[in-house]
Amino acid sequence: MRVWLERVGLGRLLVLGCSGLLLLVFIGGPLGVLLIEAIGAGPEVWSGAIGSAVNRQAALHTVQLALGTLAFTLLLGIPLGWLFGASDLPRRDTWRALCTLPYVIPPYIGAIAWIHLANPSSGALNKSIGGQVFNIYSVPGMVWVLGLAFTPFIFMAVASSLERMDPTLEEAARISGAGPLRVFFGITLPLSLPALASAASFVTAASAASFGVPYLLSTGAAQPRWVLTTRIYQALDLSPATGRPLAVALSVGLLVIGVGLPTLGRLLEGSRSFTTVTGKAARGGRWSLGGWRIPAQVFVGLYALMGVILPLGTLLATSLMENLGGGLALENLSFDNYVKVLTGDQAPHALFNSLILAAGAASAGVVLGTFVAYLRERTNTPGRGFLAWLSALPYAVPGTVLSLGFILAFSQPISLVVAENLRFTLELKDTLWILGLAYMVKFLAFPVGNARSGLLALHPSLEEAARMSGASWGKALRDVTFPLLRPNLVAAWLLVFLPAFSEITMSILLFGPDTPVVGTLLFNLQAYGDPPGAAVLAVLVAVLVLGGNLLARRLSGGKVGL
Amino acid sequence: MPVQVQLDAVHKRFGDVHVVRGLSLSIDQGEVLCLLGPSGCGKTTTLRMVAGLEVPTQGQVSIGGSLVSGPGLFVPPERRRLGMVFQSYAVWPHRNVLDNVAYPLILEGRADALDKARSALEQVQLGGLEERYPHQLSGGQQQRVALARALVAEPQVLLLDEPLSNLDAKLREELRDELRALVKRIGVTVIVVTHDQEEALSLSDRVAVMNAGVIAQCAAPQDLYHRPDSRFVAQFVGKLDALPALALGGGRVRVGDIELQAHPCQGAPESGPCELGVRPESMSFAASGLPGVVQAVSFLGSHVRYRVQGQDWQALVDAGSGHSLGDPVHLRPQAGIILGD
Repeated sequence: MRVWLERVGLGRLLVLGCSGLLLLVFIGGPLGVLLIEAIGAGPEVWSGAIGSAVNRQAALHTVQLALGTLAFTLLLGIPLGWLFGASDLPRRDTWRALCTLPYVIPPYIGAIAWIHLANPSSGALNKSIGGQVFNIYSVPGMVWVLGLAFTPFIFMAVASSLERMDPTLEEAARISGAGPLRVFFGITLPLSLPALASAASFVTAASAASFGVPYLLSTGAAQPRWVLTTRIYQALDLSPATGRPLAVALSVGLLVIGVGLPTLGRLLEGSRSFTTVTGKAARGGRWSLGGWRIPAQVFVGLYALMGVILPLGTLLATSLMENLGGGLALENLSFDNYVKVLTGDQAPHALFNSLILAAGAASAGVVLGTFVAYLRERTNTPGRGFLAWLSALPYAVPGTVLSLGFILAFSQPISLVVAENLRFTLELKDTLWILGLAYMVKFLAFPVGNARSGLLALHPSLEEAARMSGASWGKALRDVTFPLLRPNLVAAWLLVFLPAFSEITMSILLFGPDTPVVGTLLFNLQAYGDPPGAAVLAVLVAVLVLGGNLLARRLSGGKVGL
Repeated sequence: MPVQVQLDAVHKRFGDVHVVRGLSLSIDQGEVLCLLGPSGCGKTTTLRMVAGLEVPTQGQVSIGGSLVSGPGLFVPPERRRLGMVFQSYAVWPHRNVLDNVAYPLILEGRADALDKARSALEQVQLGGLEERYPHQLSGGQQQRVALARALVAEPQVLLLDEPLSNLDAKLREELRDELRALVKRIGVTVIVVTHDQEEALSLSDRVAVMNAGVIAQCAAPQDLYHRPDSRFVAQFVGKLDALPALALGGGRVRVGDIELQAHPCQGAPESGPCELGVRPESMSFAASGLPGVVQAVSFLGSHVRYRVQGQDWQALVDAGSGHSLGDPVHLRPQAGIILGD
């Protein structure tokens, strides 16, 4: 035993062992309890869940939302990706930067804006044409908002695979006599299919799992369109005890759709996966748009208008209006709403909580993620592959389902009695801890992934050289490995901090009376009668997220950022 | 000379792969020993077990007379007082040259760390480059930084893992001579791993040829080259062609109508039909001898290498110019090795 300890190293054993234990408790625990509940659910739970027309409707809406958003993003994203990645579109970089903004702004911010623009009774667009033409409180409305938000995932994948594609592959087709369209559909598109497919399956899964947009676009509606995530929230919100079995059953349905649809897509595509995209060859020539330059810019401009300018402008205007019905007159604009929100007692508390939680989750996630990555890439511990897989699992599971697991696992205090006078009690319900842990777990895939790719790029001999110089394992990590991983870890920290700061899906299920966060407060204000206050918070979130990104890019010379 | 490093019946398994199979070896103080072998023979694993970077599955390792690895005992690498140069150099890219070299001394908490590091850099002729970062250095300079860092804390043993393999041929030769002069001047014990036999023969006092996880032969370079123990060593070290011959007993051997004294390997037949191993430089052209035809001619600068095809043999001959493709020639071996099974 002593020798074995000497070989592994006590510190190393403790650190890596604790990392594994944390994963088992806070990922394996919630998801395991959920699994047990689902298996243990009696037939009456299932028949109750399936028997209700509302639930069947919700499942149908979830499928419609997922596939509708996918179709929308492909329709917009593929042409945009080609324009950015392969054409000679004028002012390409500016357009691209503008169109990428929806990628960093939480989709629910778009939903709030579009409620102001296109709600059936008083939406600005409906008023301006004097009718009730647009109804954002509908499944197409949800597809519209989510589609605009997720389009960057598609065009970024297409554009970057086109840019890295070996240009001679296209040139060979042109020399063989194929016209531009034929080259695009026959050569270019099939070759970027692997990248496109993984972005498409992400969009499908994220749409099925989305909560904020369908929730906001249901709560104000005369005829709300529930989807599975919002139904699960309803079930838990209405009666925490009796709602749980139903929530579990609906979660299984959500998992089947959210994981099943992308998997189905991958199976259809799987037979033709190949890699021809090399890292070396940079695109030589770009397709000339010729007479299509103007229409192409109009198309890109329309997306920027709908996805960025109109929603952000609307929110900014709303946040500045003293009287919502008063219009954009100068005497109606002031910073009164900002003063009211920021000097109230709710918003500062929520902002403080969100900052602490996001920073804490990001810091803890980076530390834990680094050790998980180390365990996976630098040791031969049995089960290391399983732990790495476990760490990536929460990101693939819908947030609603993950937080249901947290509720099931941690809503009662858990006591570990070691001896009569020595007991550990884990009491997480309604604390900041449960929110922070949920955020950390949900986004742990980023630090693990970043640290793993960093470690793979780092020759093990760099750390071994420190050991040979007389440094212990911990000292070698501090002096050599961690400093060399720093760029990856800084990026990972931001990748956790930014989405955690504005998180809503899990927060709304896990927050308590004393632990409001930005997302829950924003939803509260929007749903219960203070839209200007909600707009103020939305503007603040957008500014912080965009500013954080800009800062990260500036600090890292363009290497870090979303 | 007292024994500095001792390995006793060391085994290493990685899962099902048995990489080192009961290897025993002792290295004297101040000796330069080279582990030479084909890739996958376990030479790097052996070096890493001495370093403490791998834990032996079985067997004992001692350094400077004290056990560092064995049943019930394992001393971690940082407490073995060794210096090591890695194949990739492992010069830390985020520290400048001086900080790289001073690191082992700083860990010891020595006040004169920076001064000692400066003089170590002088020793490897890198004076003046203290403030540079690794990406500003050439491969050869990085190699010297790694060497200075490995030597700065005056280790008991210096371990070198393929130290010259990433350098171009000319620099490699230059650094090889410099390295040997340096370690001999300091008097440190050195273990080098290499797959380059020229490097092994020119650098070391003794060469341990490894094959499939064990040592095939450990001897001084000349002995290894001229008096190999086995067919494997004879063929692995240097060029060797096998000619059909007849052993006459007592190391006498006849090829064609030529009789000569040869070195018999272990397992070589005392008398009767055998194979005679001959190196290109111990073959010469003559008016009579083994008849053959020149099949290839390559001009190598200092000499010309011919490939000659005989009736049932083929051989390389190093000689001066004078023969061309297709010429009928006669060959005469000057020395040889009677190969075993």
